Amino acid sequence: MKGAWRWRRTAVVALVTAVVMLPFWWLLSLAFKPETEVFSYPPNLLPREWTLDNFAYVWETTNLPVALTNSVVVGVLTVLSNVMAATAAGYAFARLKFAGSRPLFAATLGAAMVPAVVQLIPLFLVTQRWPLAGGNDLFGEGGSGLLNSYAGLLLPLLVQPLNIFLARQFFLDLPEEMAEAARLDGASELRIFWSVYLPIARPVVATIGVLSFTGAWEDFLWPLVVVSSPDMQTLPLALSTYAASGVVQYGPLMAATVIATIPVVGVFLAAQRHFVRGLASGGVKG
Amino acid sequence: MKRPHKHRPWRVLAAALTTGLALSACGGGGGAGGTAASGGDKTLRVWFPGNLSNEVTWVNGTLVPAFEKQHPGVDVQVEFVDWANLSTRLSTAFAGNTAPDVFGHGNAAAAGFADAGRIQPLDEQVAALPEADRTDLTFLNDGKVGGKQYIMPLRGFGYLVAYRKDLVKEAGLDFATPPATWEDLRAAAGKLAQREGGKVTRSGLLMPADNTISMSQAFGTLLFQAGGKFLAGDGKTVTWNAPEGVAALEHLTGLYQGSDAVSSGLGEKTASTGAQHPLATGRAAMALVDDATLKTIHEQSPELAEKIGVLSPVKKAEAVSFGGAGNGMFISAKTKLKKEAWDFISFMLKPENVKAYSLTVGGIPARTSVAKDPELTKVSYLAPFMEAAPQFRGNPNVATWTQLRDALGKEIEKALRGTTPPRKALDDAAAAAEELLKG
Amino acid sequence: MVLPATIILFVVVAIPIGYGFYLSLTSYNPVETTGPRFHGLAGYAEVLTSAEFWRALGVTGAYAVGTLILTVPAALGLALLVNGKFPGVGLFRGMMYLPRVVSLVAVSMIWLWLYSREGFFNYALDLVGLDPVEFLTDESTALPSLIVMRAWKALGGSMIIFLAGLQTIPQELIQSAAVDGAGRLRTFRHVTLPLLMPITTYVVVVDLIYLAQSFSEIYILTSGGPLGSTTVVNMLVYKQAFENFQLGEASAMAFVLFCMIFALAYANVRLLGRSKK
Repeated sequence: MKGAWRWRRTAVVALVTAVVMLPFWWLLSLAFKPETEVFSYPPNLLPREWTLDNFAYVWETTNLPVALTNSVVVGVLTVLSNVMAATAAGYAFARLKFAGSRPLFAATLGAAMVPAVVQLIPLFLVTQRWPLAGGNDLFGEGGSGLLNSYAGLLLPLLVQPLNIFLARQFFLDLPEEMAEAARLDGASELRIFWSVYLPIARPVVATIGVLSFTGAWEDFLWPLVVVSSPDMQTLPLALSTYAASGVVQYGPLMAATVIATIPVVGVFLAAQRHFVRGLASGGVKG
Repeated sequence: MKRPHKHRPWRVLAAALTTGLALSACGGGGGAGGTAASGGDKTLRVWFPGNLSNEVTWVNGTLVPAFEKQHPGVDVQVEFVDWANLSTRLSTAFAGNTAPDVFGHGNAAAAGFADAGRIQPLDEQVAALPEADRTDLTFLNDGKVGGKQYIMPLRGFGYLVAYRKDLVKEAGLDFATPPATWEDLRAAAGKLAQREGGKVTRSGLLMPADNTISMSQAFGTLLFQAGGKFLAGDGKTVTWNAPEGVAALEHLTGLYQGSDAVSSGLGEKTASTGAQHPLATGRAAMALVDDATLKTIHEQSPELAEKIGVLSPVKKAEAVSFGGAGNGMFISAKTKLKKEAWDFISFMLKPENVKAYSLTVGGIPARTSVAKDPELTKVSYLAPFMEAAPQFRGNPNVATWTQLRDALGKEIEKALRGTTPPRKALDDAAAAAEELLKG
Repeated sequence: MVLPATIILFVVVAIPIGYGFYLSLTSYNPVETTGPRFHGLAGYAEVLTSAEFWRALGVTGAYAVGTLILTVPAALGLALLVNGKFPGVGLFRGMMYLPRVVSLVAVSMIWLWLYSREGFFNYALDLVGLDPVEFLTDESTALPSLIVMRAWKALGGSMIIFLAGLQTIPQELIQSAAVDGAGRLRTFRHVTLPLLMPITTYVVVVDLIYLAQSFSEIYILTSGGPLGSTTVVNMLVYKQAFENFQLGEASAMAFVLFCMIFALAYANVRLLGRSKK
């Protein structure tokens, strides 16, 4: 009985996955097609002639390897800072009562609702006027600040308000009693967070990791204005060159996309191991 | 709940995070700046619009090294900015005073930048050019705003009607005497169109209609052919709703609407779509295309190259078409390297570079003499456009043009889709535009 | 514990937003050398009396709600399906998350083709003998087509959040419900769903925030047409800011949008948050 359900479930999931994957089939097939075969009607779902030229082209003659490295650096640092700062802040918002908690949380959430387009120029100015960086003096004059640097790229990604929100929602869900017991033992709030709640929160930490990595990976508008040399380009900037000015180089675009997707999928697969039940789910909700 | 246990965690995490920030700041130190070049060289920062791979290769591999060799002590730093992102980049750069010394943009941007005082007039430098050069530079006059030279066009573009020779023959038409008037072209389109159940399945004459901008350019082509203008000479009075404009829009709308419609596909992306272009797929027998789009068709469907012909502009009052100066170069008002900036632009406009630029990037060369070069005239997708260069007319160079065009394009779409009659659409657009022109 | 996050958010978020808000009270063209000129609420008055803005707001609402209706139940269903151990579960989860992470440029190009006249969908329609549909260029189908694409892209992201939420539900609760003789459906309704409320709130609110600000994929697929039927507010904001260089008015528009999103999100947090108790 139980076995039958398992296999039926696999079948349903496989079917849904197949539908979701349909556009990718085309993406992959374009990546392996020569330019002349890209568009034909009726569409041929498999290349008639398989080629690795597109991959060789994007890897050897374009800025892709550099962009890939930069994106990995920015992505990893983004994950680290978000996991640390956003989880802690989310926990505090959910569990600790402190002055100004509610308005501060509302402001944090609100920050995510202002379209990025209008934050762009102000953020650019903040980055450019960053004191004591990139030739700037104490008042942020004279140099280029954090423009065209990893720090500049990272700035708006360091703490993503929605991750704080996510962490808060998770911790809201966890039973209060576990903390009370630890408090009676004289544990500090940080200790309670660190050794009582964080271990159970592995799924949320993994989720925040995946989401912040993805967020950094696909960020386009900010890198566009902050980066001014090819050696600082990130993947979305490099990818956009294949679809430049309406002249789309389908093969290279799709090949580069395949390459650019692999690391995120890797991060996802690594993180999803932690989507398992927390260790101590003994507390029962009142 | 009690409070006393809350202050410590703040501090610990603050410390952890500050360390993280500091680390990331260190990691990025290397790439910043770019103004300090080695050996006391002057660094000239140049932005090229667009980032086509062969353009990047040519500029970085040939043009810049040749310039630097001729101008020792100048280090040229080039950045390629895709058209779609150019305005975003420029406005942040202007806001932060980090604009490059030289930057490229479309001709239509000249008036706005000039108005805002972000670019320098180049009349002195142009006047210092040899007379022969000045007359040879085909699009020089298009680069003037209020009589002053602000942009140096690097190439031109234009719209011409391309057709499928095989389909024309199949329909029993002979373009040995090509269509010369609106009526001729319309009649040919009528014969070439195919319908099924009241729907046009093959367009007789497809007009650019990707979005409201290209719809306004299709309208512009007919407006000029009818002898009309977008704005009066003062740049402050809308004239697109004069009788010439109404005739143009009625003609354009007639291609898509009514029982004798000959075209379909409003809103469909066709610009630079190569093998997907309706001319290539056979869903259109004739189409008004720009040189860049025709180039992509030739490149992606080489087997069709032989089968595609191009017509000279047809006329109602005048045999002209939409086009003119494409992108060009500005010198930033704030540059400290005025001389080097001009040196770079005039270097790009040397005959050999103009030729190489057209061969790599496409487009009508910026010099009339180069347009006669056999290497260029044998490029079949370029030749007809070079020939028609004197017949191209462009946008008026006024500061608010992009907004005016937006207002116009929206109303044109309404007319083309049959929700507003042509005359009313143009009047509505004119009313909206006059608001904008008043400021 | 919120301090580090607060400091960072203050510098990289609050200052830019504060400055952006100031700009919304000015007439500012970054191309001009004059800088912002304060004009109070004139920009807001302009926005609030613009028919184009209200229409775009309606389109944004339809787009967001349409996508939410498609995604949220489907994501929850999928999360339930892939919650647990069975052959290939990791791979399936990974593949379903794929749309969320693949470059938007590439994905938009693919969907542009899928929807085009010679594209896959019309080919499929042709195979079963149906007339071609002009998915993206017809006023009646353009917005639904965009919604389908967006739902496809958003599905995986929402799914993994639900999944993570399901993982934090104590197994004992489910088991004890089963012992009490509750069926699968009843257990879901009375045990799982209430416990998932905070996470559902998160998914709905966050999707709402993202959806209300979307525009890149719309820009690539339809440029806001046909006849403005897919012009969302953020597209107007972008156009005003970086095509017309009217940053002041663009900011005013953005802050009106912000107020709408905030009100909706707040209502959601309250509503869904309360039903948990």
